[in-house]
Amino acid sequence: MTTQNGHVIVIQFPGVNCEYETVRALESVGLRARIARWNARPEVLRDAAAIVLPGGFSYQDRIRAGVVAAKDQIMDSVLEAASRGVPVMGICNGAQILVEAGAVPGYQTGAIDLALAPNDMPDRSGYYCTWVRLKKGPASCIFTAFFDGMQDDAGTIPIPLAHAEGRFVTASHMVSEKLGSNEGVALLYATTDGRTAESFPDNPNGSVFGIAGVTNPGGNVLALMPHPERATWLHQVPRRVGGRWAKTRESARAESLFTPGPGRGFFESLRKGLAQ
Amino acid sequence: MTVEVTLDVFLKGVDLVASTAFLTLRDKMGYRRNLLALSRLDAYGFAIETEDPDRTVATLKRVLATQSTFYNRNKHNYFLDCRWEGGGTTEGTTPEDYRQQLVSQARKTVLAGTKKDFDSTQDVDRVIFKDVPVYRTEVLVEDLDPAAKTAMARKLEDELSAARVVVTRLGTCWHLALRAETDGEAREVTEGIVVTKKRDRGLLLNPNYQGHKFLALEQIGLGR
Repeated sequence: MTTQNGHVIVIQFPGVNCEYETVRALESVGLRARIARWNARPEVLRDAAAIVLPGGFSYQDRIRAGVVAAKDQIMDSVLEAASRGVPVMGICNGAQILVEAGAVPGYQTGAIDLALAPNDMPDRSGYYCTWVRLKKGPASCIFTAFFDGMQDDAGTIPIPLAHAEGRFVTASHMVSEKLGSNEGVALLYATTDGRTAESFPDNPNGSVFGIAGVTNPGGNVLALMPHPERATWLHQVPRRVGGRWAKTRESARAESLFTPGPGRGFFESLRKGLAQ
Repeated sequence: MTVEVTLDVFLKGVDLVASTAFLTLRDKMGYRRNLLALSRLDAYGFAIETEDPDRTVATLKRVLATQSTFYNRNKHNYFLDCRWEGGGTTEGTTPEDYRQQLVSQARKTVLAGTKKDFDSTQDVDRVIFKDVPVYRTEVLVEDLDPAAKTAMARKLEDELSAARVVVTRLGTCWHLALRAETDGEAREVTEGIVVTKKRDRGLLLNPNYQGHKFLALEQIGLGR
């Protein structure tokens, strides 16, 4: 299984732009993290404690977001590590890479059962950047198993997202049925009162069943569209998000602005999971 | 009366998306032998119901020229074909010109792989291209969800003051030049390149929200 001795490896594909803040977010919970380039030797992942594919625009989102990076040789090693149980998280563009590589939902080994299609929004199209609310889905996952305590009373956390292609969708009846019965659904977009968000703007891209993050059957791979690394410290949380986090941010003194933000729960959960 | 409109739009300069797809397929996915050239264009098709085709086509041309919704003359070339009963008009870069660009790219790919110097074009044609069986295929990739087509049709109805517009094509048309022995092999290789079924199979569309249809499959020669 995984070992605490290894680093968490953040893979820098050409065009990603969140690798450094992802490393900082991992280090904020005491994990050791470092960046490896997409063309590094496969051995770089051999002793990885976990792997994170960060957000950005790998290969400039050419053809489809994430699809070119999904064909890179290093993804052979990522998928091999995932099959050994090594935790792998894809954030935004990283999620698009995992989906195009067939790493999630993993109902059929290697099959591309999902897509992250262009956002479906009323009266607008393209890139959309906002804060949304997330709640845990029924599927267990190492990145969400231990983040209790971060949620507000309705069981949600505020988190930012920014993407043009974030709509989880499938053409397979079998996959739709499984997702509909919450198999593999680790995270859901939520309303302020904690219900699953079905429509815009709470569900910001038209994802089926309000899905924001999908895990594999082993619970060690997570593809999520929002950016937890951009909500790792309290000062990153805007006052307008409402709820407990807005109140905390409102009343925070300067010295407490670098206390944990809601997104840190994902990295804290990984740390606790690795320690077990 | 119905005016059938075909509009193909492509970049004047280097198309980095097509180049990236070409390199990904050849260098990462094992199509170095088969794939000789790849290009793409934005494909539109409209069926416009109108009493006055000449006026409608004139309005359409004005809309196309003054908006950047479909193309920008500074960076795009285009081919516009309008047909109706008893009439028609065509302008822009013809499909034959576009086809020749694909053949030219395929010739360069084959030549780059030979690592030989030749004294004349005749030698190149005689020695290299004579026995290379090459197919040209054309595949249209569109979203399965018709919402974008419907929205565009409503917009065009407003712009053209037309009774009814149906958007018949809205997507990306990929043109491929392939080394293949038979029609069947050419079709199979094209399907393998286009439809993403597994990580090592397919690139150009994700079947969970996109579909495709073959528009052309023909054997071509690379020699001049």
